[in-house]
Amino acid sequence: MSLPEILIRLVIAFGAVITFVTVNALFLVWLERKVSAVIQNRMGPTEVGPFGLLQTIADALKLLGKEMITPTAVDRWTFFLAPVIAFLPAPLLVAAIPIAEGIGVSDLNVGALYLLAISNIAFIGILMAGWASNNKYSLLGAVRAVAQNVSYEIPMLLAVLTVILMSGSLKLSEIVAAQSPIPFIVYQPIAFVIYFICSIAESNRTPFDLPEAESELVAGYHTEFTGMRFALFFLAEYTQVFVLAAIITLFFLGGWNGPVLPGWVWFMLKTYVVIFVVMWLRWTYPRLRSDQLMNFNWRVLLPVAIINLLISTVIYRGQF
Amino acid sequence: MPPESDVSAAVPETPAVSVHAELIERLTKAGATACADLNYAQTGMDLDIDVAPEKLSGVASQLKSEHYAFETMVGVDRQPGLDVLYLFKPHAGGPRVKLRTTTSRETATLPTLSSIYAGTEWYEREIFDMFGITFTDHPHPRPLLLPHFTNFHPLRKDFHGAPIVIPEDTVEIPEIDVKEAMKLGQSDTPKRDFFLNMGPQHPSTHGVLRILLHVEGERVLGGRCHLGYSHRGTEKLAEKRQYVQFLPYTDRMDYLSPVNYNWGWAKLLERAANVETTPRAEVIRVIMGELSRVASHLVWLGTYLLDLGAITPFLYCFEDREMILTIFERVSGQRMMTSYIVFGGVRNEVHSGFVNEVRELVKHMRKRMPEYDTLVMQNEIFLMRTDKVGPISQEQCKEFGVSGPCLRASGVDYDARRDEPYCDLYSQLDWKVQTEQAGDCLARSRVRMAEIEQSLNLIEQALEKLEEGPFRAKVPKLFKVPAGEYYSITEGPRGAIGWYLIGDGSNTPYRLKVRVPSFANLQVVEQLIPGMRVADVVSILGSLDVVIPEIDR
Repeated sequence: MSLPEILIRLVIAFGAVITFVTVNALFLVWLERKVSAVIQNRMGPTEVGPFGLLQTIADALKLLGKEMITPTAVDRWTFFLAPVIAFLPAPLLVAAIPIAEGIGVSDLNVGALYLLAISNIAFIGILMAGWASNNKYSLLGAVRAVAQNVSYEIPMLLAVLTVILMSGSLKLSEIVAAQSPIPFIVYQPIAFVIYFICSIAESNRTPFDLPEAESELVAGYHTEFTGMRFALFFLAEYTQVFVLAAIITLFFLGGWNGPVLPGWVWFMLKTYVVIFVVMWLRWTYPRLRSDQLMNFNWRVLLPVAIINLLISTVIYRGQF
Repeated sequence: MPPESDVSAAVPETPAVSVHAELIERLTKAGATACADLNYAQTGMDLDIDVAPEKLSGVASQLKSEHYAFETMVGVDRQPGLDVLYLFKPHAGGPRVKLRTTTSRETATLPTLSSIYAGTEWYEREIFDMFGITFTDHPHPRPLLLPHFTNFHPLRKDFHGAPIVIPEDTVEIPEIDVKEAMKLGQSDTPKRDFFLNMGPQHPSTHGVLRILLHVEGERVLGGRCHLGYSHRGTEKLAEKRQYVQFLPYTDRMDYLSPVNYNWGWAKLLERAANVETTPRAEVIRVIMGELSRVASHLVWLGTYLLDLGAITPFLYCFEDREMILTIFERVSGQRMMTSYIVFGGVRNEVHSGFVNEVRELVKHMRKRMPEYDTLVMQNEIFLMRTDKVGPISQEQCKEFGVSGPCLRASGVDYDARRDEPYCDLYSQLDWKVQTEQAGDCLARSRVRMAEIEQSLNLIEQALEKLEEGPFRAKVPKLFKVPAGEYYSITEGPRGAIGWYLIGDGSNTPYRLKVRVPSFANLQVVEQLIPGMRVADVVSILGSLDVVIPEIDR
């Protein structure tokens, strides 16, 4: 490949990823509002566009027009950079996710590792936001977010290890190919549950939404952020939800494998069903307390994940 | 009153046939100077006891050893003397004792009772605000409801309003003073602790309450409540209004259960003027009062779950509550500020569809209750967040005058509806006072849920008893209360609402003190939160179900 070709590919890929991230977030915000409305016996957005579909666009425009307030006591550069860094992993992650055989920006040979590693960058942004805001609520929120992320990372990785153990590859397309007739959820239900719980915790959603627990910490780490900076956090959160659902689809639900329909339709269908379940949980459950969250991780999830990994090793790689 | 402590001189004042002779004897031994029986039916109290200030703690200790629960403290400007009254009553049943002590306008100093009855702490601070009485050895001598720079005492009779001048140099209290005045727990690891201002603008303080928390990471070392952000001076207003004119103010004391406040005020005047209501009015009162209780508990359920991070139940609860408010609107013309229960009965006849609408509502709520039970009360995370969190002991209940569901959750079987016969109908209906033993957030939640069920039962039975008749007794147009002191207690959704009225024979109160349940219930919070986590503070605060405007009055 010549240099211009690479550049053109890069520009197209970048454009596609950013467009997808934005449109997906706009859609997910609408979906969340509709799902919550159905759960709460309400109508949800109805005014702007058909079924209120354009409501989020109106909201986004409003956010763009808002004044970006910088409180006087903040750590200026960190405060500016925090939302950017929090948002940064979102396009990077989407770029590495293939949505069907051959459709995707890049199918890395260490895709699984890449996804898990990059998704953690967001927490640096959150920590920066909490620290820079010079606000006690923000700081508490950021501390909670980091503690939660670091803890839940471990059982999450152990759950992914079982998947990699079975597929024998870190490449996402090969992981999907390994699930060709039967998805891994059938072989690895426990790992699936662990991974699902951990990824909800990683994306800070109810019942693990402690970092932004509005009834305790006002709005957690983004208390002091306004306008487009706040929107970046928002965008990052919803992209993260999409990414976690996509990873679950790739690792456990057989990715784009499925009869009749084309692969990308299957992939999207599975992903959005997972997203729906995540939203369903959010609008149903109360929030855990920080120590209970930690206890649950270290005393329940971690031992179960280790035992699950050991048993899987013996069963599926038993020949040594 | 001179500090007379001659015991033998006081004895002849006591009627020879007092039913409380033994108690009087013990209290006299402890230092009471004059004891007199009061007519419960007329005044709402059983025993009037005078105590000299220096003997106050002795008498209070005696009462405490006999398991008397603290109810309220009332300051009165008798011109020239300043009186402070303490009301005590044992939860298990017994006479309501009124302790009376006096200080002169010039000295205006009394000993604190907060080392014996911890609940007097806030009352004493309030009395300092309102009457300028200093309580010696008070652990936390700062104004409670008024700003710290006020130099007047509004409930003194010689106060007729004054412009509030904010001195520029004292707008901010230096932080170091706050810390010292707070006398909060010391951190084991210095320099890692900090102060966290929860409120006055905070999503889960349910109004403008400010809690200054001393925290170390997520752990709370201590906290102090700061009140008075929505202080309206209702008690002073009452002195400037005719009795009938004060009714709308009672609506606005507690925006979640205005009917119960209307009822309390009406009941107080009925007791003072010795007026009977009509049977139909009683039934309507019970129905409206219990509807109001259900509505208030629904708001509690919704907002409590909101505090715990679940948003959805809130909308369901408000949907149900809206049905009740619609009934209120049809009955009284107002959704919330009903002013419906008036002296002598109710203000107007109920509308024609009332009975059916209430039946519908009861049916609807009966369907909803199992849903709330399975989806909320048995939710694993809900149990984790509430079980064994913030238990209130029975001892604390007594000391602080905790009442309502918070009291019953601690295993104390006391409900003013049953134990203070303010409405005969309650004794004719089939219902039970709900209690739990643990006293924690979960127990409080369960008591409230069970109370909704009981209220539905009460409403259903009361509907059966709704018979034709006048909805209001014949009452004089120009209403005057005979001179005297009256106390009346009614059970609101948050607890016992006490009304202490001193009438001077005119058509305005000489002094009206409202004992609001949230005041005592909230005060316990300072005792409960040390050692808990920040999230628990929210959980405890929510489970107490406080309404801040009610506290600030």
